[in-house]
Amino acid sequence: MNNFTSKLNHVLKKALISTTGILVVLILWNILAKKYHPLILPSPKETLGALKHLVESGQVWTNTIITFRRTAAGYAAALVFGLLTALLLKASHFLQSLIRPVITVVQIIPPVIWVVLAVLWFGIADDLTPVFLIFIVTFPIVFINIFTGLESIDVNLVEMAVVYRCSKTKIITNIYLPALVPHFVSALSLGLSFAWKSTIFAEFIGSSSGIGFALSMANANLETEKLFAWTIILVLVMLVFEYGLLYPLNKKVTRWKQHG
Amino acid sequence: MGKNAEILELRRVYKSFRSKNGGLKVLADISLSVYAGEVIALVGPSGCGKTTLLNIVAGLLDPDQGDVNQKQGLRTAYIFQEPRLLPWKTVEANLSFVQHNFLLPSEAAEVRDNLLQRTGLEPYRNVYPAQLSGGMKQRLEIVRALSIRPQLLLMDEPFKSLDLALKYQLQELIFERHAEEKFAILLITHDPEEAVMQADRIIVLTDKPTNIYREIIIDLPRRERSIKNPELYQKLEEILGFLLKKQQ
Repeated sequence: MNNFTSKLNHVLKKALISTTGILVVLILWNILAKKYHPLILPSPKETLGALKHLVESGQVWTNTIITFRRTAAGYAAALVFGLLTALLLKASHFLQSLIRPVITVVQIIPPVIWVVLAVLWFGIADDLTPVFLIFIVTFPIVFINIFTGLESIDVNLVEMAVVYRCSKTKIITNIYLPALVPHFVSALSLGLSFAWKSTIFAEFIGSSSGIGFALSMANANLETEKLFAWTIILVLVMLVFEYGLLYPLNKKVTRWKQHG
Repeated sequence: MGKNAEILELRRVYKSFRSKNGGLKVLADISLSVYAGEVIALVGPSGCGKTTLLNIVAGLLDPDQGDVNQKQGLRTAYIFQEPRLLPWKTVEANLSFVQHNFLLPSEAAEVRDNLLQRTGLEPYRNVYPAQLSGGMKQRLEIVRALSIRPQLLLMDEPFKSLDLALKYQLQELIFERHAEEKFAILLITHDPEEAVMQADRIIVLTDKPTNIYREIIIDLPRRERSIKNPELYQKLEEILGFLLKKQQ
């Protein structure tokens, strides 16, 4: 019981500090907004009004669903290819020497260049441009995380299993896979954040729908309060994924790492 | 020893490793027989290839030349220098992971329960290794080796990093079990006293390329041994003398 109370106190304290941080930002925002024109810095109240309008008109849902669908497609492709490439390169030194430098080059090229190229190659293609960008940006991240995971598998554990006559299948399922899971989840988490940002970026420049497009319209029409409202929506969606899905998942798969 | 069956034989084993300046000859012409139930200590200058020899016996390395013959279906367990536990498996799952390759589930559970009880690990049955202290991890490493009811137990200085009290406690556990189950032990140690107090045979190895310098037989029952015994003391001095000469 005592333990529970102290844990609760700890959580409450942490929540209080985090909320204070956000409150300070809101207060500062409010003070600054009074000094500047709404075109430059809309107040929290104006932003909330714009947000309400976006929700009531249904724009939030339609655009979020479109953006989400694109993110999911590019992200899923990056996950599958990242995983397969990592496994393939780990299995063959030849392929590793051949492909590893290419992936490094792909990763070094800034996303803005990819988006410009995508628009040149695919035009203002509603789905293709964002999906391509997500894939090309997220793939190296997924690959590197999983490849690092494969490299870090403890040979000593495999040796132990060999001495105790474990079969190859048993070694793969009981040593390789569990060692890889945390790296895979970390790839999921990092990849999602990159994928989501890439979608918005690609939609902003090379699409005619989705949250990124809505942002670019708000920008073009000088509706700064809408720009702020969309930003809040973006942050909220990311938070839901990060803390509602990935954080608990990560905690679950690394349960064995927690010290007593 | 002759009356017991031979369970393992190394015949004229050679092993080299590739190194920057060509080949590094580690083992040169090692022949050794291990009989059921005996305790053999391998003693030698540090870096002389004792672990290489043990890894060849364990099947982790293949010799370049020579043969390793073992009794069909020989059940070998290995206690490594540092615990090699699966961090994502609980204490109990770490044991059953290896046990199920050798024992039926009912026998495995019985042996497991018994060992966990005897070693005080029972309350930690469902705990992950990260939550155990260093000494407890090494205890689990030893329990895992014993849990398959081995016929040959390989030990690579398993007490090296432990304090004295824990070392004696764990040694006692192994030799208690050894007295009951009569498995053979092949033990690497850097401590000649440990060798004299525990082994039936001590194999003294030379520096690289490693060969067998001497084989010392100790005929006294383990319980009656004391370092004050003149015969044992003389043997201890002989080994120490050889090792010290090597270090100079």
